[in-house]
Amino acid sequence: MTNSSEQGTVAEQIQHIICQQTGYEEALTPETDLLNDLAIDSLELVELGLVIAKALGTKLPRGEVRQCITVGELTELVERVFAEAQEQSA
Amino acid sequence: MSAKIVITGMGVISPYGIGSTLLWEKLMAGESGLKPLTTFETSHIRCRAGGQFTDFHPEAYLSPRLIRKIDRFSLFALIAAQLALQNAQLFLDEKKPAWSQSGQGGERVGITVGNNLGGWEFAERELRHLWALGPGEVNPYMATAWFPAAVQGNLSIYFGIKGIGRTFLSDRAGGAIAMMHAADCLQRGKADIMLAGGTEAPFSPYAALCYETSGLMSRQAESGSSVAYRPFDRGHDGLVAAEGAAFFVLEREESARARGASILAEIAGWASTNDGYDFVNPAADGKRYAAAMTRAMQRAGIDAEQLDCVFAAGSAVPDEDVSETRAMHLALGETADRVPVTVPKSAFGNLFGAAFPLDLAIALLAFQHQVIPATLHLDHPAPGCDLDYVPRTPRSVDRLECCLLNARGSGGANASVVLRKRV
Repeated sequence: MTNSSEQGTVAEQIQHIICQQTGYEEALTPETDLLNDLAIDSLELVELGLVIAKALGTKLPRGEVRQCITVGELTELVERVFAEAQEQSA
Repeated sequence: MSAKIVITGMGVISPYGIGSTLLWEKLMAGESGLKPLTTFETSHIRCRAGGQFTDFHPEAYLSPRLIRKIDRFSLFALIAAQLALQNAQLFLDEKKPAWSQSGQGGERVGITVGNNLGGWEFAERELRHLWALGPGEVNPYMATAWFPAAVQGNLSIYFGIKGIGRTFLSDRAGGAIAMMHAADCLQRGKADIMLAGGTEAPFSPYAALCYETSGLMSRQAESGSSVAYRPFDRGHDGLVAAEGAAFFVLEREESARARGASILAEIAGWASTNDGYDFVNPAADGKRYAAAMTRAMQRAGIDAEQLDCVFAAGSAVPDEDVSETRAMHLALGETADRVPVTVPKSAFGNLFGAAFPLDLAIALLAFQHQVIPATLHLDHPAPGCDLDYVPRTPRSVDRLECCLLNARGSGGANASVVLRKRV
């Protein structure tokens, strides 16, 4: 997993994936609501979690992904999981 | 007096492509829609021909985001339903249904769907992922994509339909039962508009195998023959499957006229019966099948002399063809000798859960053109099949205003509908 790479920060990569998956082209903010602003329902959120996990080379807990309401919360979850993975490998 | 139920819109996807005009042109040209199956490995089945729509591009109608979430049979249904709503003048320029602007929204709009197999293209792909790559690689939309009622849910969400919603699985009669139930719902005042039809997408390895193991599929289709579906013909040896969908907008005549809708025809009578005989084979005597036809005519207030044409179920399974012929003799009496009988789907295959809706679309087109489409591949009637079939070429007629449409599923799930032209 790359935290900050040629592909950008985790936050930038997540935003890029969300735009790819949903077709939205507007800039996203941490406050962007996944359901109300982007129409990402519960199943699409699970799908999004799988795509992000695969793209970033990590595993995301499906139950926690489902609880994310905003882009910021999803980003924080991915960053936390990444940090925990780094600690374990250190 | 019961309200008259009318059709005010239709949308069709057939193996020839999208749209009713294309379907009619191909039928009039006598072009077979049956081709060798090429999109999946067929070495495990013998029926290797079918009515496959190989040039299907749903992205012309639906977003990539939606397309990846649903199976092919839902894609067919969504597009056919949209065409039906457009035809009924119920789809606004902003790509929203007309009821989205009314106070009740879609609460007085309902859906009925006929289907047989569900969405196995999606399901088989994801089951391969499960066993080859593990559960983490299974698309989460597997949960909502594969089962037959998925179509009903997708139509409801996509068009904001919030009234009655039901899906009917009754083999090749499922689409007929769905249409009949929609008419019933309108007549009982349970909805003001019903979106009704059927959809089928049977071309994946497991789905095709399910059909194959029924023992009802054509064996001469092993060579990929384009003439293998031969209802009532001496060379008949079973069904040939097809894919596609047909959907219709149904309304009470009074409300259709009040909004200035064009009325395509009236669903004047309908009835269903069961043979109670066997899992696969229908009863040879055809008595219960005949009862469905008789009751449908009674409900429409007509007798056999008023029929201008019969669209037969025409499975091309030898015993079923003889049984259906027998049932028509029982239901129509002496008139059976002079009413033209046709099975236009012989040109492109049997759509099972959508077979009847496709027949209904063709009947509506036949009303418009005053032409009875032909039963392709019917060259020499089989022993025991002695009706006035319309073989090989279409038949122009002086009057085509009332017809009987039949559907029959495995084990004798019988359905008959009287369709009548409205002026």
